[in-house]
Amino acid sequence: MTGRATLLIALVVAAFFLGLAALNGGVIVLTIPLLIYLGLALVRRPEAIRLTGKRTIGADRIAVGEPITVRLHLTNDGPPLGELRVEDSVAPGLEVVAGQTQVLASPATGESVSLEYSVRGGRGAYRFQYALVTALDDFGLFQRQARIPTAASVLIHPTTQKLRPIPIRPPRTRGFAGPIPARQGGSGTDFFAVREYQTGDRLRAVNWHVSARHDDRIFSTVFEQERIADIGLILDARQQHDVRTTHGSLFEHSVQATASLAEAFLNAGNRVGLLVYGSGIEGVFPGYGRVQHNRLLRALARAAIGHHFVFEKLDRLPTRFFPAQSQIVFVGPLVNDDVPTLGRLRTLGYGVMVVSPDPIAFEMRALGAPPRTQYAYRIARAERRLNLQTLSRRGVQVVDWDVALPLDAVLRTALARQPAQRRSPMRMP
Amino acid sequence: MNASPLHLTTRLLPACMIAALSALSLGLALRGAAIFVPLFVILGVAWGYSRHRRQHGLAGILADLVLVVAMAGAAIGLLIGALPALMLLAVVMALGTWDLTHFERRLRAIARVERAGDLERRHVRWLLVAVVCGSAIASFALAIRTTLGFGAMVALGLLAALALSLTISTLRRESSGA
Repeated sequence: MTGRATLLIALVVAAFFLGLAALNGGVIVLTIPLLIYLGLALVRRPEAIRLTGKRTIGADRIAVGEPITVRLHLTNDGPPLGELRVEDSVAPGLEVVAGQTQVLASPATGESVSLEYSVRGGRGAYRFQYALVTALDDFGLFQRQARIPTAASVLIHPTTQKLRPIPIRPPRTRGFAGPIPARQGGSGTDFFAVREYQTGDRLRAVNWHVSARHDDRIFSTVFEQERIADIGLILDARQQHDVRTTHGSLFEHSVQATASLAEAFLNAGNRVGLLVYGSGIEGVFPGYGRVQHNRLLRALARAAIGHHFVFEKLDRLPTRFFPAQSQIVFVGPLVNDDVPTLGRLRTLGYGVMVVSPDPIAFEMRALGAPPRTQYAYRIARAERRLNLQTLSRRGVQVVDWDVALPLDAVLRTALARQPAQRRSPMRMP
Repeated sequence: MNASPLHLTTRLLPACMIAALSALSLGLALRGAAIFVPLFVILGVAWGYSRHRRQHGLAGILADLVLVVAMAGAAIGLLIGALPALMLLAVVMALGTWDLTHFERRLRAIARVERAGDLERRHVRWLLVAVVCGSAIASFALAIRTTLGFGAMVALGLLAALALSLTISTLRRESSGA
């Protein structure tokens, strides 16, 4: 029953008792049209709603900013409905860019009502739950509501930047040919070492310059083998380290960087895994190829910042998740407490790279560099530089990324300055 | 907001409002209660202005007010001896205005209305049935002259109250079960 029906009933009751009190039949007679109107509405009030719904979504995953079409189809399996208002529940966070999410119709038995609209939104996993339907009688006095389940979901994965091959040198590589120098002599393109000629060496491998300096010995050039590697990406999703300004969240840049790195490493044929470290630990086990790429994008689409007292510091990182002596790439704003843990990873034999979106530059850009923050800025900047230097000295490849600049250019510049460490013993074939 | 043309409603609404307020004003003025007429005029103008500005929510509230005022005015009119036919006309037309204003509001609030013309025609048809039946029965009732004793009146009142409470409880049960 709606408020309008209540008003009508109140008027009827008031007029009726006024007529009785005033002993005036005419006043009671005034209620007759209202009662007829009310009675007709009552007779024609909606019966139980029997609708079946089906929702189709243009794609199960899209990129940020891309519109996607949502179609909702409801069929009336029950009696005819006088007025049926259908309101689709758009998943929170999605923005309707075209079409309508509401429709008013009067479907007869077996007839259908359809809705079609386009939405777009930011990175994330979105779930459509139900369509809210309200059936009214012809006068709109009595109504019935129901939620028709039409569950569907869509994944909006982060945008990626195309990155050129990233120079990494993990201590251990895998057995298959790839782009990463394996610290082992063999067939390859880069010079590795010179050793005495062995039976079976190809003639073109003989190093005539070195051999000319010796009377009785011949030397061969050995090239460095190139293999694929195991790469573990760690995305820092701890709430306390995120910076939110009017320009957005720094975490989103971390996610984009992780997605771009994952794509670049997978394209090079490597085995890539992912660990999202925040309110819990969510991981994607290492794998190859397009399927793994999809898995990683799905995990990154769902990644959200969170807080848990256990994971406040990085020292709970499950290092066994990644194969021994593999390459670990940590993506996140660096804080003081992270430095010892990342240094320890290097000590444990992992190749470690830190891609750190600069939180200070990010925040200062939003603040507009007011004079009163000048000293705080300088102190924070010095502290960050010290942390990065400490890591660099421990053999960690460090990329200090101002998110206003393209990641590819920053990676290229930063990694060109600090060649990957060669700490493992060289192995000759 | 839906902008589908509601031809019938657009034509009927002002006619209903003018008829309701004119009948009420005339009936009361004829019995020397012209003091209420400015109130009706203000209400009518405010309702018309809100519709013109497409403020359908406000128009709905004003239509509620018009119905209440029409019922109260008609009751007062009948108590001071105004012409019953005019008072009945005022109530019926106020009911029509109230219904059509809310119908228009419901349709305008939804971005898309399927077969709006059919929906409108069916609504007006049922409203016409209610109005014609209501007016006919009420006119017939006004023409009847019968005397009821006190006991009969009390019994009638109790019956009405009982029927009303039963209806409301049934509806509530239905809506909670849905």
